[in-house]
Amino acid sequence: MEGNPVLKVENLVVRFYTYEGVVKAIEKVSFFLREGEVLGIVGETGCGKSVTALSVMRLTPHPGRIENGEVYIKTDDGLVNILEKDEKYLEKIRGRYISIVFQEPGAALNPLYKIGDQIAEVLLIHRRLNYYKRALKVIEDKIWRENSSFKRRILSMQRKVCKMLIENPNSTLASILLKLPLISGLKKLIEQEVREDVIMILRDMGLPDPERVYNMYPHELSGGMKQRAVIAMALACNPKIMIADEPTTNLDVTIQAQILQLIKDLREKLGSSIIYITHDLGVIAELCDRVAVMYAGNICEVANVYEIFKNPLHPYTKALLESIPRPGRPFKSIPGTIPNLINPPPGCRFHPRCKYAMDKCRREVPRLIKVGEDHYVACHLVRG
Amino acid sequence: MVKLLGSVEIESVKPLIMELKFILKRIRQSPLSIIGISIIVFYIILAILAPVLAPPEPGRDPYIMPSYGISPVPKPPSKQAIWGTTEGQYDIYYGCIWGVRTAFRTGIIITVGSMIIGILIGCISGYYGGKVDEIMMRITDMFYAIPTIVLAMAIVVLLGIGLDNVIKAMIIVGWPTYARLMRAEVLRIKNEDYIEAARAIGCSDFRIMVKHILPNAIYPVIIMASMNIGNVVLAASALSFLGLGSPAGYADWGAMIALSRNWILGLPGNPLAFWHTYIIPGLFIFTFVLGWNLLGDAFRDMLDPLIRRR
Amino acid sequence: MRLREYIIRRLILLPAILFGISLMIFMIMQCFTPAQRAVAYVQSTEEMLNIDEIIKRYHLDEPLIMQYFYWINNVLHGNLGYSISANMPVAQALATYFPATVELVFLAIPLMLLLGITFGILAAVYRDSVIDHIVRFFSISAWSLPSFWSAIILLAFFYGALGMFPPGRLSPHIVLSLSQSEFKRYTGMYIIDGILNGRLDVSLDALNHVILPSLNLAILSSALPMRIMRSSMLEVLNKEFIIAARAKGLSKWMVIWKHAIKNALIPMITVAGIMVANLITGVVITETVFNYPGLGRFAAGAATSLDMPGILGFALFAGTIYAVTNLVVDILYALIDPRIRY
Repeated sequence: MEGNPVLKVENLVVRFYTYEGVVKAIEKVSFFLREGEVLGIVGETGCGKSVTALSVMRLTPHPGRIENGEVYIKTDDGLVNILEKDEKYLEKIRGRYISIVFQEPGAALNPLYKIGDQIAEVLLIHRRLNYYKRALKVIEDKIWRENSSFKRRILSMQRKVCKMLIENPNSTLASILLKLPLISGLKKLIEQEVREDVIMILRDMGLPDPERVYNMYPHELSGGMKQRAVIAMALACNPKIMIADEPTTNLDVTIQAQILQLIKDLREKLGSSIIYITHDLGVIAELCDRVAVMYAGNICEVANVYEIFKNPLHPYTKALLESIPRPGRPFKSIPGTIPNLINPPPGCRFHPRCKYAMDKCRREVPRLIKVGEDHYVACHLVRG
Repeated sequence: MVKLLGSVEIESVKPLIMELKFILKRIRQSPLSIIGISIIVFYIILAILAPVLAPPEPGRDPYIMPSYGISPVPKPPSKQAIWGTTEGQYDIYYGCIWGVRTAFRTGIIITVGSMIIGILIGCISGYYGGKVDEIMMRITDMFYAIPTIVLAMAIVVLLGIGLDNVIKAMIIVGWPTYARLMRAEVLRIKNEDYIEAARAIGCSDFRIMVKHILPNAIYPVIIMASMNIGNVVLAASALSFLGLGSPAGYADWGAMIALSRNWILGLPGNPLAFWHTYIIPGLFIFTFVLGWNLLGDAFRDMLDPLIRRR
Repeated sequence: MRLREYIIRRLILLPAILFGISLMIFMIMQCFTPAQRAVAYVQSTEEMLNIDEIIKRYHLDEPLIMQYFYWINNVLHGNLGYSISANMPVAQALATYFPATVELVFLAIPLMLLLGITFGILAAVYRDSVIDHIVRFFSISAWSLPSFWSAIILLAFFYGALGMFPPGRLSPHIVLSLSQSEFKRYTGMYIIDGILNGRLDVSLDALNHVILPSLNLAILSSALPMRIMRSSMLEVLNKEFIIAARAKGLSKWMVIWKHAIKNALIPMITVAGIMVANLITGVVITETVFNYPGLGRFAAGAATSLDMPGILGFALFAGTIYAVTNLVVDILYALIDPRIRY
């Protein structure tokens, strides 16, 4: 019952080889993302949400390594296991079929470059041919209108280079020619075309005065504006899948609401499928269609958002929901702390903190079993 | 009152012990620091055993190398001089062994001297602030404006040639670095709550400086000193090489290499004939400084909080 | 533009720094008696006999502040005293030996930066690999090597054993031919002047002599930029915008080239001042060993001959170069990092 998955992760295993030992960060994680839906991944800090997000794009940071598993992403060639492909293939996928927004607003922005240029970069990586063709049209139009034969000469030289680029976007000869003084006008034309698109994107993101914002540097923008810029960068090429790793955690509550609204609108407009990572259950309730609960590198429970709140089956999910502070009720927290992942507890990783722990829980790792329509749980207490 | 003071004191000592334990553990884990420590220990042993390994002639200053003749041409290793002789027939083996003592003496006196002056000035400057601080900082700026060895050379010319003057010159040139560092630390600690508390109880400035600020601020200064000893020895040997330090015949590695300058090109047909005059003392300098640098590096790697937890 | 204001502000600080340098030199001079200081201006034996006249002429026994003004006035007019080690006025010695040192340094700096930066980057990108270990070993060894020792070894090996790259500045036969023919000194640097005069043999000969000292300077001085580049690259490569750049679809090396390097170079600029100070020190020693007639050899000679005006003149000069370099570095810093200007 997977519907129309755009992303499928199966038995993903990620380990970090540190000076202090091997951290078994992600142990056999499986989930999928349907087209057009918002899947929330919720869990405490350190449970492996961010590592999962990065590993799905094969960007696991050093000293981490993807040891095992499969990650299928829907590209133009259907579902492809990106863990089997070479780096060049991944470079085509990233930014175009799948993108990511990080937690720290603006951390994704290089402090030394203008905002607009950084968004333009994504467009140029994946849609170069498009812009060459547009530039060609502009040149031909200019040639038609130009009276001076000298200028027409120059323009037709530029047109030749442009055609070279259209034929072979990686042509080194053309890229050298672009640097020459007379031909560089073509470069400016291409940049102008990209710039128009970037300004449009910035406007769509709700940034006021996009022409001015284009020329600004990251440190000149507020947190909310930076996050909008980063989202703009992520969605510039309209990827099918967007991963949002706690994008609003570090923002003021009011800005948080704005960004959430923005994400909702974009999902409507662009039809993107979103993985939204957070530890805030309120956001989950407001935004997500389905929810996956993660603990210490394992998925405990996956269900439709109503099911999760109405009928949580995994003890951890139940404990999480109970720990939401409510006025009038005493504050309830989950006893214990997250386990050391160099020496994780045997069997179910939650058993040391679980009030229902049985003997089996100490020995055997529970598998995700289907317990209802679209509801999966990994717990020995529950039977399928 | 004593009890309160006592509890404040305990607060600032226990973490120190924990830190030391952590440092020792990391030292054991890092091969480079073990190599560094081994080298230094080796040289310490050499220095202590100098009179045994290279017995000095009775009645002579042991730091003057024995000379076996007057010929300017260096002789290759022989039974009398197991590593050969330099120009003027000074025994290379003897010079290198006693040179260890010279190196330690130079390095330690210069570093400790600059440190003491720097700590004093930095502490006073940082604690009292105001005009005193301004003046002190302008003075350090003046010292910083000219590269250290150049300034040291000028001061040696002022004081006269000789190893003691080289040491004095390098202390004069070296204290600003420690003063700056100490001042920065004092400024940082000055605003901590426990200083406020100590003052509220009525501690005198002196007591606060000595009992509370100093133990906490001195850490980075010690790290810097360990990283700097190598450079200091290198600079002092360079000054000796140029002829501004020890006189010819003194057991100083830099001065010994200076003696080899006329013989670098060897003999016609045998260009490396006098390799022992410069290679051997040079190896001593190199390994000695390397040991200190490895140690200082390891210290810094261990105590730099950003890199530590990797 | 904010940048312009920043530059102007830094430029205004320069005279203050130069004042500080001059004060330092002045104070060292004041450690001598007026008679001793007068000797600095003596150029002949008759003048030696008329010391009092010189003391009067240079106001060497007046109150300190007056002395400073007279002295700095002299300095600004080019009178730094007479150097006994060089047998000419100090200012003239500085001017004469300056071009040779410039030639040496201008060859060494690009080599040093190329070596240091390239290997620093490689060590960071291929962290914990063979090349990383080699780089770390090299940089700490080069940092521990006495520059006079490496110079001697290079000389013994290349010139002594292999007969290549002789010491000094020019071969005797070239010097002879220069004195016999029309050779215009445009810059004082033989490599350039040789080309400008159409005498490539002069250029090549000068190059042949300057290579070894440059190499010595460059290799030893490259240790610092190598280490700094490595550690700053490691830091930058962990930043989120690097992952974000890869998430856009950029290849690993494109990310390093476009995003990482520029950010990693910034801390390098901070230590540029230290690098220059190291170079000045290295120049003194290297020129001495290679008998290269530049400012470094002059300074070493002045020091050993107890030529006070000579060494002080050099110190003044070195300090000025240092201050100007720091100014240029600060401006570069502001140019590259847009955050600094505010």
